[in-house]
This record gives sequence, structure tokens and C-alpha cells, in this order.
Amino acid sequence: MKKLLAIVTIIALVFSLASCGAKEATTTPPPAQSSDQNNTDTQTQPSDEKVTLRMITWVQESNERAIAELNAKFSEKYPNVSFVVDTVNANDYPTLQNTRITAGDVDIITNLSAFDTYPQDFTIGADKPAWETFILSGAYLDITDQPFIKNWDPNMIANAVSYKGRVYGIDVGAVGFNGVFYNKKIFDQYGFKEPGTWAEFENICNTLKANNITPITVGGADSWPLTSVGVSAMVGAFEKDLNEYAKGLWTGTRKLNDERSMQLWKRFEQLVSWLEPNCMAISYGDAPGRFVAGKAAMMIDGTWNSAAIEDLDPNFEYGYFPIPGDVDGKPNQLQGKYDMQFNIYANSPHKDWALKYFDFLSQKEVYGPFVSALGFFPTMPGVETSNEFVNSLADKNQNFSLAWEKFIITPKGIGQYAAGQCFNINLLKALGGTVDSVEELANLAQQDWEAAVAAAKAAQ
Amino acid sequence: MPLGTGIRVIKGDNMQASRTSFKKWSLVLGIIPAVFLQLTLGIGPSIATFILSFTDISGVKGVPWKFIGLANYRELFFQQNSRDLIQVIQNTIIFCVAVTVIQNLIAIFIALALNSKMIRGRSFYRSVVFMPSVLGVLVTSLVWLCVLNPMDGPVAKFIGLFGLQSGFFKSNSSALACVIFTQIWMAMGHSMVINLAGLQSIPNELYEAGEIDGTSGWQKFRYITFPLLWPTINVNILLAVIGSLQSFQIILFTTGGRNMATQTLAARVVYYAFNINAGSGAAAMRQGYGAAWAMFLFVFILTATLIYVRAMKRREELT
Repeated sequence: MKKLLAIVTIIALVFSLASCGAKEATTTPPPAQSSDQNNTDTQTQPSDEKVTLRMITWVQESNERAIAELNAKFSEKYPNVSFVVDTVNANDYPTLQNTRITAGDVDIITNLSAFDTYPQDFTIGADKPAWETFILSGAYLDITDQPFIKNWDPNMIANAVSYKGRVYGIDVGAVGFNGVFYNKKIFDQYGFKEPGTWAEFENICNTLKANNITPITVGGADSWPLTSVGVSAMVGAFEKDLNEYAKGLWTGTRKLNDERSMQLWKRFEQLVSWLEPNCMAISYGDAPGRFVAGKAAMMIDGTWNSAAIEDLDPNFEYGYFPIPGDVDGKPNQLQGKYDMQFNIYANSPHKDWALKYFDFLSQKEVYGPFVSALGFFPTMPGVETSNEFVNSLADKNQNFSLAWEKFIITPKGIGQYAAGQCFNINLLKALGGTVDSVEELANLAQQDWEAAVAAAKAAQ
Repeated sequence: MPLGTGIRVIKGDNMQASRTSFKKWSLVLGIIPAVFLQLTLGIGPSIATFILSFTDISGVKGVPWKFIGLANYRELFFQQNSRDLIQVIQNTIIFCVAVTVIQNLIAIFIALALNSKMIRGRSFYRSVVFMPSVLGVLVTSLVWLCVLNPMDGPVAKFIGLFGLQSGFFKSNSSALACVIFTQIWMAMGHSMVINLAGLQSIPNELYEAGEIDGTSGWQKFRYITFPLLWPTINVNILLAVIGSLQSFQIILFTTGGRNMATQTLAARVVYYAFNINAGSGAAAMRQGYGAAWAMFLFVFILTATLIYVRAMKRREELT
């Protein structure tokens, strides 16, 4: 009996441990599967069997609509192919990505951004990004040798979708997110022009407030529209060299509460005072509705969300300007990132059709309408967007650069006051937090930063 | 004859022995499925979690992993911001104590009221009180997110009449209180039903005897109801302690799980192990590190339970 129980116990434990489903470390990661290894040629027709391609993406109305249109066109050309597109909130998207890849329940993956924000020599002990984990796990199909790659901007291929010389995806456009949408009617009513300096911006907001018009709204409930988009815009407008600022924080030559940073904190304090009351309860999806309804004259957001405004009211007159910063006379140019990236799940049973889909997307006549519907800046040479809003930003897109979000990497285990992008203004009392003033918050953030860097050094 | 008898006797012994042996084996065979399930779904994963807490396993299929000794624990205790770690422990204790005490007090009070014959339609009220337990975490969270919506919610409008306003789940100062309230609203029905069963098992004769002796209502409660209901309350308290320490779903659905104001140990485990609500640009899942947090939570729950059980034992000894 004892023997029997022992056997049962061992079997049960083996089952439990086996359910962890991972392999012991190997000395080298498994090589990513190359599309060539499957002898897949996108020029040849895959089988005509009925196929359902499983896609995942995040909730963003304009993106979802553009993808639906693209998929419909593909299905029109290849009637045996249909699509299932699953979406979740952007905050939850990394979880969906993890679980679907782990379960092998996906064919085409969209990524929130490019392969960027990689730990640097000064970012001691920082976590590797999720995208590298997926590449090392062999989840993304290596598409380096596919003929359609040459249709795309070589800079995008090199900087946004490559890892160690191999190409793992296509990035379908760039976006700016260092500014605000503004209501042209309200601006005209008060004789405002797009502000070129902080003083002009300050004047606009104060005048609006004096006239009982809420200056700015934001979807604060989702956190990132304020702590990522808003903060990136403010830091990007103020600091001359974002990489130097990030490096300075790590090496100690800059502090989050030094004199210069305090000037920025003071501007954050002003910005908070111009935000719609209770904006931390407004979801990202609801913010455009409030903006179009005239609840606020401006809305912090990225250029990608123009379609949401137009959907609500096609006749609504609006514009977009980067938040100005006049300290170093920095021009008000767009800062942002490469946005949505498409990848193929390497173990997909429908790799051939997924590659066909990529090939289809890589044709100018298909990509043009797609990128116009997305509201992104094109990443394919010779393709111009027909999106009026994107074209209206041409003068602000002469010197496009990466936003603060792409430079800042925080140390492991960082405290809440300096987490994310270092300026956690949502912890101010005015926004529902517990900290009374920006001075106090700046000191707490610097303490958290120093403690985390010291701990990272000690762990080395 | 004697031989035959003898043979019969021997046969009888054998039969008895084989019957005993059969009974023994049938018992063993009978408990094997339960032991197997308990080991596979209970003890096995717990041991696996303990082992994995010494690895850098990510949980992403195909990613190589290795044993890293105590690195996860070092990171948890020494690299993790100490103020945040203390706040997480503090939140866990506040959540556990508040939920356990308030939930049980209300559950006892409602059970007493709904056990009283003076109330008409008791079955209806019992169903109403129990209903939130059936709704589940997601529905409960959605209901209270709507009711406590700071922009247009009915409560916000009502307190607005008095010139007050609150961010409810969205404000760091009120978020934890709102989560505690929602958890109590959801779980109280269960405690009430258990208390009700306990109350109904108290023999009526005791109350009748008490009435003959001229006891007041309060004396009846103090000397008859409470002592006889105590074992039931005891179970309820233990269930509430363990349940609230393990609870993370209500936090995840109402405040997103990232807000430090409502982070508990259980929410932290989920946050690291499954990269929940981490946003873009985050690192991939860190199930090895999450497992270290889970072990910390395990030790925390074990300590709390042992302290409680010991205190109860001492109480029993004293009485």
C-alpha cells in the first residue's frame, strides 16, 4: 500500500511539475524559425483549403477599422481566407500576447511599438524588453529573406523591426504623441493661434480657465494617456537631449529634483491645474467624446486618435500642436515612435497564408489606403497618405524624433514615485494621489531613483 | 468431522482475512483518486512554485530558463523599493482585517435578523443578501464601478448635492476603502448563510429554558446564541482571513492592479507572474519572480492562520 501511494505521489508531482511547461536552460536560445526553412514562397499560391487567420490587436477604433478593411480586401482576393481578430485594452495587451503565444493560439500578432527601448551600458541590471524575450523564444518568424521587405523604408526595417541583423516584422507607420488636439472653434473665438512658446500656451490655458472653459481633458483612468503621452510631451518639449537626460539620471549628473528638473515640475503643476476635474476617472475611449462635446478646449493624445474625433463628428474642426517648450528654443516638432508592428507567429500552421498577407500589405495600392485609415505617417517609400489630418502636420514633421518614452529605462524594483517615466504626476493630490506638492513629489522621486540605482549596483 | 470442521474453520479465517484485505485495498483504491487530485492540483503545484521561485522562468513558451539561487528573493527583499514593499504588506493587513471584522459583524447581525420569526418574507431577504455572492467578481466590480463613477455615477451626484466630491476607485485616498467595501458586499452573503445554518442548529429548548429563567434578549444572545454560534463564527473568520489574503480579482477589476494604493501581496504575485496590466514596453512575464512573491504570500498566510488558530486554542483553554 505504501508503495502504491508512493507511486501515485510521484506521478502526481511529475504531472504538476510538467505542467509548468518550460524547458531547462540551454546554453543558446533556440534559433528563430526562418520563413525560408519552410520553403515558403509568397509568390506561389498556398493551398485553397478554407483557412481562418487568428489575429490579435488592442482596442483602438481607427486601428481596428483599418485592419478590418485590410482583411476584407484580402478575403476578397483570397475567398478561402477569413479572419478572427481578438482585441483587449492596450494596458492588457501584453498579457494577451503572452498567453496567446504560450498557447500557440495566434497566427498574426500586432505589436504596440517597434523593437526599441533596449537597455544601455549605463542602465545597470535593467530588465530586457518583452520583444527580445519573444524573439529569443522563437515566437516571431524570421522574414529577412522575404522579397516584400525591399518595398519598405530601409531605416524602418533597420531600426524598428530588426534584431541582430534579422528581420522579424513590418512596422506599418509612425506616430507623434507630444501634443494636444485643440478645438479650432474655441481657439478662433478667443483669437488664439497654435502656441509656439510655453508662455503662449500658459496664456491660452489661463484665459480659457478665466472664462470657465476647461482647458484640457485626458483619459486619465487608463493612466498612460497622462503618465506616458502627457509626460513624454512635457519632458520632450523641455529637455534638449533626451538621451543625455536619461543617462544623467543613471550616472547622477542629473537629478529629478535638480534646479532644471524643478522648472519642469513647476510646469507639470500648471498643466495639472488646467486639466478637467476628475480626469483620472475618464477612460481613454471616452476622452474624445468629451473633447468633441466641448467639455474641454484641448485633449492630450497621440496623432493616431484623429479618426476617433472624426467618427464622433465629421464636421468637427480640430488641429494638433506639440506642447511647446521655449527654454532652449526647441522648435515645436513632433516626437513619437514607430507604432504598430506586424509579426507572424513562427509555429503558426498557416505561415504560408500569413506571409501572403504580409506580401499583400506590402503593395503600395494596399498599404496606401491602410496607412491613411490608420492615421499614421507612412513607412513605405513613395506612399503618401490621403489622411487630411496627417498631411496637415507636415510642417511639424520636418524634424521628427523619438519621444521621452523611448529613452527612459527605470532601474529594477523602482519605487512608485519614479516608476514609469519618472514624473508620476498622477500621485499629486490634485489628481487623486497623496502628495501635496511637486516639490515633495520631486524629492520622493529622486529618493526612489537613488535607492533603486544603488540596489542595482549592489546586485551586480 | 473434526477435520471437516477444521477445514471449515481454516476456510473461514481465510475468508475473513481476504475480506479484511479486500476492505483495506478498496479503501486504498477509493482514496487514490482524491490523493492523486490533491497532489496534482494542490501539493504538486505548490512544490513546483517553490522550486520555480529559484529560477528565472518567464512563462513564455520556448524561452530558456535556469536556476538562479536566491536572486529572486534578494530582489524581492533588497532591490524592491522598501517603502513600496511595506505599503503592500500594510495594504494586505488593512484589507484582511477590515474585510474579516466588518464582514463577519454584518453577517452575524443580518443572520440574527433573518433568523427572527418576527420578520416576514425571510426567505426573500435571505436570497437578496446572498445574491451578490452569486454575481461573481466581474459583475460585482462592474456594478460598483458604475455606481461609484466619479464623473456621472449616482453616488457622485448625491454627494455633489452637499458640495462634496470623491474619485472613489480612482483616488489614492479612497480606493482601498472602496475595494474593501466591494469585497464585503460580495462575500458577506456567504458568511451570513453559514451563520444562519449555525443559528438554526441551536436547540429551541435552550431559549425556552432561558425564558423561564427570565433572561433578557441581550442575555439570550450573550449566554446562549453567541457561545453556541462561536464554532461557526470561528470557521467564518478563518475563511475570511484566508480568502481576503488570497484575493486579487476584485482589486484587478476595480483599480487595475497597478495602483500602489490598492496593491496587496496577492495582486503583486499576479502582476509579476502574468504581467497583468503592465502596459506597453514592459518586460515579459516573470513567473520565477512571481513565484518568489507567492512563497512570501504563503508564509504570510501560514503565519496569520497559525496565530489565529493558536489564539483560538488559548481562548478555548481559558474558557
